[in-house]
Amino acid sequence: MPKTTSRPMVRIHNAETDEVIDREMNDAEFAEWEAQQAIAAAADAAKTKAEGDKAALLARLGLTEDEAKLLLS
Amino acid sequence: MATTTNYGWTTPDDTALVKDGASAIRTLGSSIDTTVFANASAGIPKTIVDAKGDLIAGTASDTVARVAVGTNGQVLLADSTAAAGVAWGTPAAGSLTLLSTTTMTGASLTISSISQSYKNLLVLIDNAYGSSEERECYLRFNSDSGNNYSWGGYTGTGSLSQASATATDVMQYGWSTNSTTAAHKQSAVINIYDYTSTGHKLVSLNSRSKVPNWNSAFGISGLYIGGSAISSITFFQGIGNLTAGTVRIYGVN
Repeated sequence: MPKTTSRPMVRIHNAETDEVIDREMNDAEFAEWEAQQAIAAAADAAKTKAEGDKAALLARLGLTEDEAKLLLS
Repeated sequence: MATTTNYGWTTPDDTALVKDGASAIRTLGSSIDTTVFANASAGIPKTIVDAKGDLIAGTASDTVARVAVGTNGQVLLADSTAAAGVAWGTPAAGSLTLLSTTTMTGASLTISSISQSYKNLLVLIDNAYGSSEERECYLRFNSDSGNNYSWGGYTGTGSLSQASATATDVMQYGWSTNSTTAAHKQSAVINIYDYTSTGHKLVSLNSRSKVPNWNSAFGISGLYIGGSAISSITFFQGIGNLTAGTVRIYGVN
């Protein structure tokens, strides 16, 4: 049976022998990759929330973003 | 009279008389002796080399000589003034040697076993794009995920520049694009100074790419403070895969 996994692939090129290996991530690489994805997803969520909060505040104040910048300059 | 296949030495026929055996053996032995003696001076004796790395080069038609190995970091150069027509020499300062050319693909790309015979490394990335947009592009040396990367830089957005300085477990080399438009793809120039040093290695880099809202010009001056010489470089994005692009690594003297 062919091996079926969904782990991302990595490429390793040995500059001395010119050998190129494409393989799935090993356990350590996959664990770090998953942690990295989680961090990025959390950062994305925080950024989206901040942008939403900002837009809501401007709407409540009845100001545009440029007008808010003018007030703060 | 029967003869051997290669040298034509005379051997007894199947019908030869036994009484003539001694003479036949003597004739064959003499032929072998003559041929071996003549060939002994025709081959290249192994005694011509004296040490590890010695080479054998032609000095004229049918004539060879030993060329002793050079010193570490030297390269073999054609030299018509040398007896053997070649000589070991040190490349001129500033010269570039292409060490590897690699197509980017996968969640990460590692270029390993980088020669330690040069002073600096120059890394050029051309026509790169990935599966995600506006994500940090990172590099690591020696697969080192410790907080050994101290760097400060800017992201140019046309009217705004941002500066940051931090010690992290990666070094950023640009922003990703997933655009296949030639003018949008990422290019980068990365200089790594004294990469064989066990002390701090200086890294300066610049990259550009086009992301949806701005033209990304990105640059840093940084240090890799890991205690080993750099023998591998890994490239990856914060999110997504490397889809295409070419990485060339040059050794600089």
